[in-house]
Amino acid sequence: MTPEDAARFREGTDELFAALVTLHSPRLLSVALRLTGDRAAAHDLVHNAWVQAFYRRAQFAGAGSFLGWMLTVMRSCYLDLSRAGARRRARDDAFARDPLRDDRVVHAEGGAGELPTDEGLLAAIAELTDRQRDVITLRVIDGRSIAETAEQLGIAAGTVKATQSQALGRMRSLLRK
Amino acid sequence: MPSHPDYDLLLSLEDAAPASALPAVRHIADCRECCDTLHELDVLAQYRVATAPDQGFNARILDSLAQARSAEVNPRLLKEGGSQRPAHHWGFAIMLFAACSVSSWVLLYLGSWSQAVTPDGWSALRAAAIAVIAGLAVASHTLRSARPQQTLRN
Repeated sequence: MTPEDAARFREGTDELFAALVTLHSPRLLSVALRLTGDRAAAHDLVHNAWVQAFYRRAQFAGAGSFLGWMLTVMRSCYLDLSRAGARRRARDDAFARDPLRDDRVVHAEGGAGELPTDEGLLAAIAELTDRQRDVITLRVIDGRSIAETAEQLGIAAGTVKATQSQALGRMRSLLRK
Repeated sequence: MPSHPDYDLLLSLEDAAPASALPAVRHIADCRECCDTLHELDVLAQYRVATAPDQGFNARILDSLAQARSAEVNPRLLKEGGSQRPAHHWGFAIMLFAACSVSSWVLLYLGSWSQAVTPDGWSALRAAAIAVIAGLAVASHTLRSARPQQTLRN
């Protein structure tokens, strides 16, 4: 996002929000589906995430990845959903529809599996610094090269590599807790 | 002990040349930490997948955002579940604070006046502190109950 677009975002410009919703909703919906396991709940989650993004738009610095910032906003909304019990109901429904999908239940209960859940990964991403989260989003989630990431963030390629290493190390330690 | 492959190699393992990929693959097969890291990277990479939203979904979001924008401009226009959200009542809270402070101070001094005893400086300070705290508590409660909520539902 350019600095000009970031300024328009913080102002809440209709056209820019419409463009961002069209551009990012499909991927946010994919992540929301992995979190909730239910299509209707995923739509609700993404919907609330956009509303919260509107209210929190002043918090977006604008220098990094907008998708990374939206993921932290969506995770915050997901936590609210979880507390309300909606996630439990959606998971129960999904499990009832597909009893062979027991890996999600094992992970959520902290059972034999040590592999991270989507919830755990998003929680770890939310704990990163803004720069670390931007690098992880651009390098790993968006699949951009080091050069492209460096250009987007306005930093050196060496800084991207070092930040990437710090971020993944930090995520690893958070997920191992 | 062989060192862990760097993250760049893990990220591009599928495209890496066999000369660099094979040692990394052998290491990962024996190293639980690298195996887990690779899994984490795989999960994050799956976030690149897009899911088409239901028809009308984007329009509903934009409607909610328009509603949120209207509420920011004029909070009294926002309705949630049929009830009207109140605006911040700063003026009312300040008047309430002043009224409670003065009332508390007067009540504390009624005893002194009835006994015809001149209150000392410490009594005056104590009474003033209690009055201010009481006024702040009431004003704070008024503001909290008047604060608008920030979640819109479909």
